Amino acid sequence: MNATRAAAARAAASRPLRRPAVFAACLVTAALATASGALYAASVSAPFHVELLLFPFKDVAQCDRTVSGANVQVSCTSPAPGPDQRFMLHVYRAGTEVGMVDGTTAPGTVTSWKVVRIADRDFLEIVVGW
Amino acid sequence: MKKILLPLAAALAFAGAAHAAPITTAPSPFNVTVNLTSVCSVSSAPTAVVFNYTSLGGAVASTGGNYSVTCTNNLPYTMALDAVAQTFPTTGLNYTLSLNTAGSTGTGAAQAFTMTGGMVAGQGGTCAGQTCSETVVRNLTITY
Repeated sequence: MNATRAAAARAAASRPLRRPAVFAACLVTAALATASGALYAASVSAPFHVELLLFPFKDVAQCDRTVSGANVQVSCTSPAPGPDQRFMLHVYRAGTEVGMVDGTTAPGTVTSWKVVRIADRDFLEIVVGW
Repeated sequence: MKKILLPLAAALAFAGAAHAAPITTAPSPFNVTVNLTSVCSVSSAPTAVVFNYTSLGGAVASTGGNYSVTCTNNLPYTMALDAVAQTFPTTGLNYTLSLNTAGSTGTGAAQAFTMTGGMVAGQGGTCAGQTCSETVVRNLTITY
């Protein structure tokens, strides 16, 4: 019984020594909680689509043109144009696109072309030789 | 009878006057507190980013990719994509996406942004038909 009392007394005596440690732990915990709140970042996400339309190379010939005075030379990379090639030309006037020509032609060389202007529309005439 | 009524009326009037005089008003201040939770939302989801690419052809830029974000006034936020460079899994073509700005500060109103994409020239890809199309889902994240 005396031993129990002595142990209790020792425990009571040691409490004041442990309190600073408890307070320090509480302070650290509070500081960490505050810090975590300050660093907390919310986020919101939005899905979206990325779409691809792939044209095989064999269907398209990439062309470029060289202008020399009134002469315009159009050169196309391989594949070599086969029969019934489709061509699309964008017609510009004073920097503004006025229309697009969508037609077909056979292999050959464009020897000349001109824009024919009539009342309410323009035509593009292309002369092809082969 | 008159002799009784007159003193009674006078007494009542005096009593009323005596009650009216001590009435005073004292301000009682109180607090009104508002707890504002700042927030951001994607007010307009990104429109589809579209590539039209010719196999082994030239470099292309995407179209679309417009979106808007609404955040609480003065709330700073950042924007990021789940990945910058990716590959279409079926066709095997590489592409990149980028945001026109990485972040901003909320105004309380919708703020419009754009993402742009690019595909470098000379990619062959895989396509058995005349044309191939492929769609993947990506994510835009707003952090605030």
